[in-house]
This record gives sequence, C-alpha cells and structure tokens, in this order.
Amino acid sequence: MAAATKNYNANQIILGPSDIWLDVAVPAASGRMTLESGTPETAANPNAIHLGMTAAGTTFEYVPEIQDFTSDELTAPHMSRIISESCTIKGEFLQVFNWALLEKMTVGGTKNVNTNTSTGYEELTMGGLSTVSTYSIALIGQDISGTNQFWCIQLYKTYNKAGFNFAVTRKDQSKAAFEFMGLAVTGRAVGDQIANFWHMGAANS
Amino acid sequence: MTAYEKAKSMNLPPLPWTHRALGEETYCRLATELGYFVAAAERRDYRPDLDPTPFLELVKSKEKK
Repeated sequence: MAAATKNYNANQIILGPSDIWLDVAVPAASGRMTLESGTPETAANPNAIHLGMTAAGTTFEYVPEIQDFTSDELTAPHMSRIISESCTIKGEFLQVFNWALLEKMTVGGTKNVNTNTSTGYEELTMGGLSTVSTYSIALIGQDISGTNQFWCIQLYKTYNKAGFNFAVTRKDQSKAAFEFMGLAVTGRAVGDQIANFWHMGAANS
Repeated sequence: MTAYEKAKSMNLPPLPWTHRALGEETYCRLATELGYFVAAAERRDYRPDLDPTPFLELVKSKEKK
C-alpha cells in the first residue's frame, strides 16, 4: 500500500493586487480573452476601461443555489441539482471623479462632454432610462510564480447592481461600492454562459 | 467545415470588431457564425466587442505554410 501525496504548493496561491477592466471583448466559444502584459490587448479590446484603484481589493464570488430532492423512504436527499447560479465581482472603487467610469458604473447614467476650452465640462445625467446596458468585465492578476503569467476572471455579461453612492468627508477619501452581477449569455455553450476563470501557461494542478 | 475554413469563408472584416465599426448586420453574423454568442437571442443593448485573435491567428498561421 502506498501513501497519497500531499498537495502543498505555494504557486497555487493567489496574492494581489489585481485590476478590473470594464467593457472588454468577449472571446469566441472555447476561447479566452487576449492579454498583453497582464492587461487587455488593445487591438482585441479597443474599448476596455481600467477601473483604477480600489479601497481594499476585489472579491469574486460564485454561489450555486442547490435543490436537494428527498423521498419519504430515505433519510437523506437522493439527488441534487443546481437551480440557479450567482456570479459576482465586488469591491469599492476610489476614482469616483472619472466620468467614463461613472457612466459604466451607473446603470441609468449618461455621460456628456463639452470640450470647449473655456466653457467645457463633463457631466453625468441620471433619471428616466429603464433599460440596463450590459458589458463584459475582467479581473486580472499576476500569477504568484513570478513569471510573466497572469490569471483572469471574466464575466461575459454584467452590470453594476450596487448603483453609485459615495460619502464626502474631510477624514477619508471618497469611495463607491460596486457589485458586478454576471448574467447568462444565452447563445453561448452550456457551462460557459456566465464567466471564465483561467490562467496562462501549463496546468499547475 | 473546419474553424479555418469558416474563418476564411467569412471574409473577415478589418479591426476593430466593435459593434460601432462593424454595424449591426456584420456584427450579428460574426458573433453567431464564429461562435461568440447568438446575437439574435440577446437584447440589442448587449453588443460587446468581439475578440478576433484566434481567427486572425488561424488565418495567419495557415497562410504562412
């Protein structure tokens, strides 16, 4: 009889920081987004916007709601199925004074820009829209192994369900909570409709 | 039809593959036929950029040979 091998591996740990990119391109079936030095490659992701700094990093969460089926004859469930899945990326972003970001972060906001050098402005108007514009986002971080390799969590279709609110105070910098909710892209293959968590390079498990 | 044949037969448009640059008709054709998602099944306000890399590399690598 042989003993099993223990799985202590420091290269399988994730250690930040990471970056969130909004409005990235969606990969084709069985594909992954194109990265360059740990950022969205610009030709493939021409509209990508960097979320900038966060107050305390980012949390990714995948929560399946599982229904257990029982019978009168058995004391334990005899079958379980996934009824729904929730996939979110959340945190607090600091750069609340960026109108390109604000337009993305407020579901019902519209950015207007006047570039006149003397009377110019940027503004975000809100109110009256009922549709929710969705886009794709990616959370990208460096592989702890220290090589030029990265990991990525992409939500294919999402919106910021946290709205937009921030406090203004002398004692702390303003920050606004965000929570990107992953929606299913119905026309993608089953099993790949909401998100993809992947890393570059050979398998490490 | 192989992925390469499909990419070639699509007469791939120039970059960027954004909805604005491609227009609704070409965008929906690319999104659906190259396997991004079925555009007709999604609301019109979901029109993310399409990552062209695998198809461009496929065509490039085949044409080098």
